[in-house]
Amino acid sequence: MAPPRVREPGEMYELVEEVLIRIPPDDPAGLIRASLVCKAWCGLVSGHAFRSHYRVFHKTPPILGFLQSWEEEGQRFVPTTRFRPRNCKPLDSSVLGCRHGRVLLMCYYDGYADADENEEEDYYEEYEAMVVWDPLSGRRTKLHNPDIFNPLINGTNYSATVLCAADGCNHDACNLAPFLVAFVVLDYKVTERRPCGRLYTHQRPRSGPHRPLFTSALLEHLEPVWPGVLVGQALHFLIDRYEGDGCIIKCDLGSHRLSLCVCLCETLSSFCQKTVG
Amino acid sequence: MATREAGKKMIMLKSPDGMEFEVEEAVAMESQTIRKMIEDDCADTAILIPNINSKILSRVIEYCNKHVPTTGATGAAASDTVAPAALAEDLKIWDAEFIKVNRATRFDLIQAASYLNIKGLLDLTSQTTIDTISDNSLEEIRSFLSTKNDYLPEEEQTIRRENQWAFQ
Repeated sequence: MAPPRVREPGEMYELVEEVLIRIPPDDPAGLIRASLVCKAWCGLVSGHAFRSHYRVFHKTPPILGFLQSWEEEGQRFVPTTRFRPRNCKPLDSSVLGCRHGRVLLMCYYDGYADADENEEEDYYEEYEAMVVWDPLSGRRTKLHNPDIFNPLINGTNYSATVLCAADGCNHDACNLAPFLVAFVVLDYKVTERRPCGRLYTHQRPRSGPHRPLFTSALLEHLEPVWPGVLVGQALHFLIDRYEGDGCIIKCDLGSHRLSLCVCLCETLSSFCQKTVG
Repeated sequence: MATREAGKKMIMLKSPDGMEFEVEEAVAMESQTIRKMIEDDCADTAILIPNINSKILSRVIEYCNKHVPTTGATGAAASDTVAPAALAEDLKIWDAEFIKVNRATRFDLIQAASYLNIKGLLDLTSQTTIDTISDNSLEEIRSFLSTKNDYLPEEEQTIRRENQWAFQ
């Protein structure tokens, strides 16, 4: 019987993992370079198991950069490591929220669209649509606006955020998994000034049971001022009131209900506005 | 169980090539694998360390001897007179000398540190390989690890193009 072939160091994958897991997270180039050594290494470092171990080993993930918004000029990615995002289109969009490795953008589109069958000429169209962007893979998913929402009518009376939709996920490697977009809009025409919210899943962007969420609270002259904050199983949107005080709308992801959570005093509201605005 | 000095329990470690090493229990317990054996009362007689030859095992014991917390008679004297920062610096210099070994020995040490679960030794031995990945061309890394490149040239180019930032 032929003696077993002695494995080369690079083929001892259990040891290779022990070594590669020690590549410092603030130098993500090391993992890219390791994945180019051979296909087996690429499969190892991009596999779910390695990514999970890597997260556990290094605990807090590093900040790869941040998005800086400009009122008139869209946003830009400011790197804090060598990492550069893929498919970054900084102009004509604004950031609505970031969570679990994804960015929710409101993108502005314009251009000539094909005319309807009844019309002879093309027409110039301007519209806004939400886009979920994954900076790691570069994937951009354009969402169809909820039918309760029209940016041209609603103006700034909305707030939205994105989060991972996978059950029991620890968010160490879920950037390509399904996502949820939670959306709260104050719609004056359809719901008589009642806030409406909707949840969208990646698998069913157009149809399916997008249950409209609304509360019975009547809210007038309100304006969401900041992306939602996830606490437990509920998203909270801070809503500013023109008169000075404000409130928080709680969007429960388990029961799919919206509720008016807390009324803030004038001081706290203006403090929040100054701090986060 | 042999005892060399009063109050110091000794453990016998055996390599598969028949060599025996008598070490202090505290030194052997730098290895989490051996610590578990001792705590589970599985270490009444000599402990056979499979897959680690006597040459590598002696280096591992040398490492553990140096890194065991200095609470013994000689260790206490040392730590009374030397500041902790200086001790750490001394260990760092010692580690740098310790790891000046050839490639094959280094991989044997990684394997031993992994099996015996000695975190400090695994960190030390792995770091040199990580430095190689960071500082050398892909061809040099592959040659260092005796790994064959199985990417087609166009596949490699695509990955490089999509991740240009990692190669600048």
